[in-house]
Amino acid sequence: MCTKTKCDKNNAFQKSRRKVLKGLAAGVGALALPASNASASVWESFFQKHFRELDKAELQQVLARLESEYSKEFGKDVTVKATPPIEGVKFGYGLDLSRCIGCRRCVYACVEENNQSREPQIQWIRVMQLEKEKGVFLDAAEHYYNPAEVPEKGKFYMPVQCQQCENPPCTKVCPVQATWKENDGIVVVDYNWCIGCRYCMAACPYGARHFNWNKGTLTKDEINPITHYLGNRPRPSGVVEKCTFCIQRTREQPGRYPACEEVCPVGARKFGNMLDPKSEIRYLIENKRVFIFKEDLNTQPKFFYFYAT
Amino acid sequence: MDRHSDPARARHIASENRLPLRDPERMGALMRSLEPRLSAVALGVTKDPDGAQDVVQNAFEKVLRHGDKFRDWKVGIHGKRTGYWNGEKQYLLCAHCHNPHSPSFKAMKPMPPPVRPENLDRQGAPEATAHH
Repeated sequence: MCTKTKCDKNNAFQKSRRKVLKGLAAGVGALALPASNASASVWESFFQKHFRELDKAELQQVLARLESEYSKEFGKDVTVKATPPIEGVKFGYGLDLSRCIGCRRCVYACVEENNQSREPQIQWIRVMQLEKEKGVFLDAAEHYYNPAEVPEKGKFYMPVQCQQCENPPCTKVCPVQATWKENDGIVVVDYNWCIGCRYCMAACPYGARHFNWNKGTLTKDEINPITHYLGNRPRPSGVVEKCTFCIQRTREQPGRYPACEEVCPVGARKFGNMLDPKSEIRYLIENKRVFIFKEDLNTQPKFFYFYAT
Repeated sequence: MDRHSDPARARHIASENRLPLRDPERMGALMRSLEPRLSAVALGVTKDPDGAQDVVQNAFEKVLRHGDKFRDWKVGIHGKRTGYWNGEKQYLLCAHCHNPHSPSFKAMKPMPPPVRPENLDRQGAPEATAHH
């Protein structure tokens, strides 16, 4: 129970506090809006709907807007596709640990194909050098090995990238649903919806997500102009990005192999449709010794490390 | 005695996996049966003008002693495939990657390692600006 004067004082405080909060919210809201002299495309981008809520016409509008923005920025024709998943396809990836020699060709092919920032450096694939005697013992993993030649005696190599989990922890923690798993199993990010909170990076046990601290540096010569909305289109600063199994290549009919698979000099990388009983990925899962990275976490990766010999 | 040191066993494996390399028609039929979308690159080995055919022939004969590798290659697990995962593929044959006289893979120079986090230029990042 409060006395009349005390209650009046409290009410007065609550009213003024509410006013202050309202004022603050309006002020912060106004700050978040684009500047009054912003171009039409900035306003369109600001009011753009979530990717999965866009209808066909709206999606075409968004793609056209992005294409014109990127083409203007890089001085060459850039196409942005939004090819949907192919019916009856669930992508899977295999990596032969007995073959990989740790040459990092995959890392740089990925950078070029997927328009990753050169400065500051972003690389979606990280190759770990491990000791044969210790096996997959991460405490002894060396990321920065740089000998004259690989493979080194007594070592083996394990490239790690997004494992495209069937039970992805990263998508569950996103407060704005800017990342999700598509029907073909690829986990994607909508860069126009991401708020850059980096919860997904904290949730990912594979370190597969990367943050754009500032707008990545890409020149006209460096940019790959064939892009996908959910994949390798140029990213703005303050958003998270990750491997998408080269969504701009693999979702086509016919679909090219991912860049990392294509460049591997020893053929250690395998890719295909897990729902196709005749695919190489299905064969290796059924017939080879398969190792699932951090299997105990129940993330159910669709990335399978295997031993062919 | 393993199969490599037992000549009879090696001959048996070789005859089981015999490839009709000297018979382009049968070879073509066999390759096509391996994969309906087999590309011309693989079939082209029978008409290589530089004598590479002999290299391929020797290489295949060598591989026939390693039936497990050949079986893996047939299903696309051993060796490299490029092209389209749901379309035409290019297959590499043994001698494309292995020297038949010294088949083990040669070491190569790795591409540069990633930049260490402490050396990353994260311009605009809160941590980076705080130090300047």
